[in-house]
Amino acid sequence: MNLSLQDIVKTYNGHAVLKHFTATFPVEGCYLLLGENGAGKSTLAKCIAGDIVYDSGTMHYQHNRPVAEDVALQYQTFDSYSHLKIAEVIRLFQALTRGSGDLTELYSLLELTTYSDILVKNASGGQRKALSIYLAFLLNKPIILLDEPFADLDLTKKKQFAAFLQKDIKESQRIIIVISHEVAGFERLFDSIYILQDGRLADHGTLNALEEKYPNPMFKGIEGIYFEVTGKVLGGRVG
Amino acid sequence: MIKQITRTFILESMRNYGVGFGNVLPAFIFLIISFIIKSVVNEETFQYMVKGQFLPVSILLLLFSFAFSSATIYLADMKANRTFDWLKRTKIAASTYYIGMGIGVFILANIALVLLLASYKLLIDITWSNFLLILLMCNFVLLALYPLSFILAGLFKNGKMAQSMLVPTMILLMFSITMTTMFLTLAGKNPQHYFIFLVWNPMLYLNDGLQYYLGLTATTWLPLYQYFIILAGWSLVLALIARKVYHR
Repeated sequence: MNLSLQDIVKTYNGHAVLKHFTATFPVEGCYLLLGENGAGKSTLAKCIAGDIVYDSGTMHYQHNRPVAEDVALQYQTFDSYSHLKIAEVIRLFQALTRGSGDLTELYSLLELTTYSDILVKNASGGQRKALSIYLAFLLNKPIILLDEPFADLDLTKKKQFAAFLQKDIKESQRIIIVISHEVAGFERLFDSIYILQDGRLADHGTLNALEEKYPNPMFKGIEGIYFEVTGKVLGGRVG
Repeated sequence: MIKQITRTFILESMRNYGVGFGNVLPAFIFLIISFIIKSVVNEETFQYMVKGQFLPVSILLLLFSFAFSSATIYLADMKANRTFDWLKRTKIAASTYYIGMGIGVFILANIALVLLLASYKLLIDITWSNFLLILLMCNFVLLALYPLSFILAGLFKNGKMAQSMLVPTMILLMFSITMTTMFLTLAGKNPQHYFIFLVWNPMLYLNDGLQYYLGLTATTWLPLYQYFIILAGWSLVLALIARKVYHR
């Protein structure tokens, strides 16, 4: 099953944020959504997750079911239940999701044990991000959207998390879409890269295909490809 | 699942000391003043003041702030900080959350109410049967007010906006009853003759019931069982509206 988006249009107060965005995300893959601030990445993620309603276009994943029902979205931060301890939030969501899946590995790599007794309101950005990532996987949906999951994680955790993603995709046959600027060293994690510019899909393909298409980029890695496609430097250095 | 939601609401409310203290303070200020004036005025005047004004206002304030305004702010914040976006992806039904949080509101409000009434019982004559009937009436008012908090939380963007709009709401719900009753009594008129204009306000039934249970009036405006039916009806209608408004 593929996640297919056709001609998605979303406007805010007459300003088009997504302009006939069309893309297909095949199952059992990890995809990178790249674009400068305001390119429409977060709006697209919220449309897929059903947080906002798009104006026109079609989304399809499973028959007779809205796509949003199969999506978990990890927001950039976790501000809910500020007076609960991190362990209590996890217990609450375990009860609400009826304890789906074994996430011991993720729990341990995000080192949630070390700060499980901290109230959410006192947790650092990185700790909240880790909680947010854990809850997104706890929801056990076939499509997971991760908004800047690598930000606030240290290098070791980033590597461990990337390895976890690779393993999880194979085991659970999920579609994982990552919105991130901080992908230096993790380019090979992604089966395909989707570059958004001004609400449209400017280009997409595997890293190898894009490197072949743009053989002499000004910068190394994804940043170079992004520059070749959009003529702009990616906000936050990559590659 | 309901138990987990209830526990979460109670834990969050109890750990938020500032809000908790702010919620009980107005009601207990009237109690403290009652203790002070006991030694200043004669017994008959004291009983009349406490039963006629201080106790009803304390209860109205307690119900309003503890159960209604704090629930509204809590819900408005849940909407603003994306808690409901997380929750809609779990297996929980909206009705389960509504019931779970409602149980939490009722438990906290009843603990505060029992403490308040028990303290007032030290000052004025309240029989145990009337004590329980007052509690019962308060719970029916809570039942009517609880869905209203979902409606207001649905209308406001976040907790701060909800907080600022709750002041006029409180003035409307509380003072339309207490001021009307006080001024009509001072003018030598029977307030109950004018209650038809206040049927929209759940606080009316609480205030009129309280006056009766405390022995200030011989009868209630309508039979008490009708108050319970009206309040339960209000709760049902408001819950249906809340379902539409909060999930817009």
